[in-house]
Amino acid sequence: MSIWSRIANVFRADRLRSEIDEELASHLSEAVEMGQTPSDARKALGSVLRHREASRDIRVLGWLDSLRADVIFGWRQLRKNKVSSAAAVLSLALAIGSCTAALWLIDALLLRPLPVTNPEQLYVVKRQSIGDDGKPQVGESCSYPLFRMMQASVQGQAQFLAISYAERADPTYDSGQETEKAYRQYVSGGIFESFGLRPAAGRLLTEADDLTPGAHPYAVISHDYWTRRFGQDLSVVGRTFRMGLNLYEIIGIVGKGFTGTEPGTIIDVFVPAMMKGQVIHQPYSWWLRAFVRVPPGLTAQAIRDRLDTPFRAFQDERTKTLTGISEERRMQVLREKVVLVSAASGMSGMQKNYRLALSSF
Amino acid sequence: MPKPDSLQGSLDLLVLKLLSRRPRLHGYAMMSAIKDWSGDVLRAEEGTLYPALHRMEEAGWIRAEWITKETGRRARVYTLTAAGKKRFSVEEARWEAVTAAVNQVLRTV
Repeated sequence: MSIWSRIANVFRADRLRSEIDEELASHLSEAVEMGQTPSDARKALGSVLRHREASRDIRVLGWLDSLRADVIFGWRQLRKNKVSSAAAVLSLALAIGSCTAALWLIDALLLRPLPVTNPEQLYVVKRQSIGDDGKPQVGESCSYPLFRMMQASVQGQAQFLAISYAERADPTYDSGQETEKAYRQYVSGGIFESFGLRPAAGRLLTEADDLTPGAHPYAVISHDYWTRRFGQDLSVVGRTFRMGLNLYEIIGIVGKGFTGTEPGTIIDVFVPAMMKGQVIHQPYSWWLRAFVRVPPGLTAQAIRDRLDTPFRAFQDERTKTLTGISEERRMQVLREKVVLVSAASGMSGMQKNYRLALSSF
Repeated sequence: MPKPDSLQGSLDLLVLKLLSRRPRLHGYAMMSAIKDWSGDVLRAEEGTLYPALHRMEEAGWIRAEWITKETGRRARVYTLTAAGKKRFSVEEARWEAVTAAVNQVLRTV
């Protein structure tokens, strides 16, 4: 009897029981056919229940017994060839471990949606072009003026959100001359409301905090940073710190879970895009990603089509400034076009760098 | 007159012997055969025979299959496997050794 039918026996106790019953019933009929009276035959057979239990025990115990034998045999084989066994165990452990780690990373980096409301509505505007080497390339950076032009073209239809690349910053707190490091993102004031995020304490940035350049020195810190840096001290709301040329006030802590839009980097401090400084006026300063929330009822394609006109106008201006470039390069710039790419799982350089490596697992 | 439990641990051997001569026997046929061939001396009880059959099946000495008889009734019949044939010679040799030893004791003492 094969190992599979033994295992099947254990899991098919009902079938086993009815098989034993049928065999005993067949025995009775046989006895009667041979001339015994039914009652004599039944008396001779005795308790069906007892037979059934005895046989069932044998089959299942038999299975356990052979399992035990298999385990002992396996163990002895392993001990016999210690080196190759150790190598096999080790390589299996490593393989299982690395697969688990890779899947965990793939999930964390590439699959897990951002902890925001309707993450599937989130897209990032990318620029598709042909590179110097003739291969297609995609850039996801955007300048603030270009962001505003595109935002204006879909005004009232889809929400545009500017979110800077994560970068290291050096905040200093009142007493401190010590240098500290923190990850910072400049964001459109509206992201927290758009993402459906709630404050753990204080309040979050709003669109009203992102209107005039340099006029909104307010910061929201992440729950993670609040825990790590301040031990969840509630009095941190209202505290000020210096970062760059500005003195910021911490106005609130964003609820647990949201750590920015770049999987792989935990953002500590969110400040309004308007605090970015002079670069917000520079059309060719590529420091942010343009996120779009495509509302239900509209397709990403429809939004993309509307972005063509402002983008073309922007590119026309851009080629004028690109003096002294070859005609070929000029055409390359003019052939650039915008595409919308899903950002349901966020958007980060790490995703780009590791996507291929992780997928190869 | 057949006596209950008169097999004294030789049931496996008898079943293996029976099946080596006549494959595809069902439980009742084995009981009748043991009774007939032993001249009514030995008797396999149902309560011992079926668990023994299932145990030997589990051990891989015999193989069971369901057949449908001419009467239309299903019966579970058993056949010796290769492992069972080997087992049979082991059991037979053991039995010879034991009975020879017992006989020797009986004659000597």
